[in-house]
Amino acid sequence: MHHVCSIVPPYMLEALATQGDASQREAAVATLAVDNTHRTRRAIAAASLVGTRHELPTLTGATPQPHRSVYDAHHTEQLPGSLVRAVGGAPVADGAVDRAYDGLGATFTFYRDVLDRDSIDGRGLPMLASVHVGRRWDNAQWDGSQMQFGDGDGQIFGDFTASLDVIGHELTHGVTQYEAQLAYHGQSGALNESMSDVFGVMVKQHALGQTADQADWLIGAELMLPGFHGTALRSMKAPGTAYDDPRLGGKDPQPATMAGYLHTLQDNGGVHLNSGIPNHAFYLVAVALGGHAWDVAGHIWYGALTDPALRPTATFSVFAAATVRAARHGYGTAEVAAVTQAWRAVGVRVRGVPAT
Amino acid sequence: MRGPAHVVVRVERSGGFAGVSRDWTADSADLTADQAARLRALVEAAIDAVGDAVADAAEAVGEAADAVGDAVRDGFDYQISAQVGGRRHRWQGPAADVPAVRQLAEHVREVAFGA
Repeated sequence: MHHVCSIVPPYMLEALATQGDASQREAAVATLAVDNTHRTRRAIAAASLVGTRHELPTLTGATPQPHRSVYDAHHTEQLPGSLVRAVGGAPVADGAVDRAYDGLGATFTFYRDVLDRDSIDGRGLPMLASVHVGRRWDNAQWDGSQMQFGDGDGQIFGDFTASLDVIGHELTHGVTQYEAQLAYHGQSGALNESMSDVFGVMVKQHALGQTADQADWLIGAELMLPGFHGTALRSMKAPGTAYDDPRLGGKDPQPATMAGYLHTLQDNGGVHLNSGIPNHAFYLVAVALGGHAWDVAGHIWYGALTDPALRPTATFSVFAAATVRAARHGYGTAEVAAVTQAWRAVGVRVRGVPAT
Repeated sequence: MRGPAHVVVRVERSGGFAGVSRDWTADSADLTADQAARLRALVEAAIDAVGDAVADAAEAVGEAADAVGDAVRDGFDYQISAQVGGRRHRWQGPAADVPAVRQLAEHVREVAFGA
């Protein structure tokens, strides 16, 4: 386990990381970022409990850099595992480690360069990821303070670091945790999932330099192994069409519109299923406005996610209204119309706007 | 006629990043003696960890999830049932937060993989 000797005691670093001024915070975070882990995780947990939904500082002066650390769990569930690549470290002979490291960097760059946001909390929080988690673990998740990636089951799913949109998805769960804190159940949970798909897919498009009409709008395409009957796990362009594979229960069940809204007790009320509805609304806006998805549509969605009026229990209708407000605030009638039309197309009534 | 040591465990898993539902079953009658003994031991450990009665088990798993699993996103959601002789036990929730239950779920999945 990697340790850094410091003349500044840990409690002081943690205090500076959450309560110091900009330069103190940056220095403390940088020190914590190369230290392991209980200390860093505690600082992250502390930061998540104070100052949430605060007004974020505008990025000025020196360009923020990503504080990222990747750990190897060695196919166990003992997290985070051993540090294998820290800030500024050279590539290692492990594809999962380097993909995670690069993916954290690409996600950080997207949030910084496009949305003027400094990391998960907007204040330079270190990003931690563990790879090779569990045995045949076919999942990636955010546990409240770090990302976890499995190697897949070797039958349907491969390494979960293979898709950049998956890494962007998981890190965005952290962003949502510090912003709208959308409750992970029912419609607010589906919105939480949709935020991660929306910003995750934009991370990939940004890295590839793709416009909305060039992108495939698929989630998790690269982690599916040969023999899989489908193209990806989800399609934002055409929810419900990503796969038809008996090993996954048949056809992709995601609805594209409220007409297909699924009422279920599984999956926290279908958070990964009904997310297809707001996912598709975002796709429609991005394509209607043209150019890069992040140019306008991404900013509108980010404005809604960070809107202080958006409550954790927001419904689709309430979130739709937040996007319309964000469009009105930052753009003109064409953008407002595109957003309103998209929600209407997926059958979501925009709260405060009469249905037609 | 099977004896009281006959154990059947069914694991239904939903959620996760993929958001797909999958299920696996392990039947001690289909396993080697060592595998069957391992399955019984894991079931007993799960019962010891979260209680014997159905309601207690579900409640205990739920409480554990509330305590430490609240911030997890893309975690798995489980429904697990175990038939032990004539008794039926059931757990539900994000069992990942109760190690004994998660070990049982993972073992059943491993058995299905033929490991």
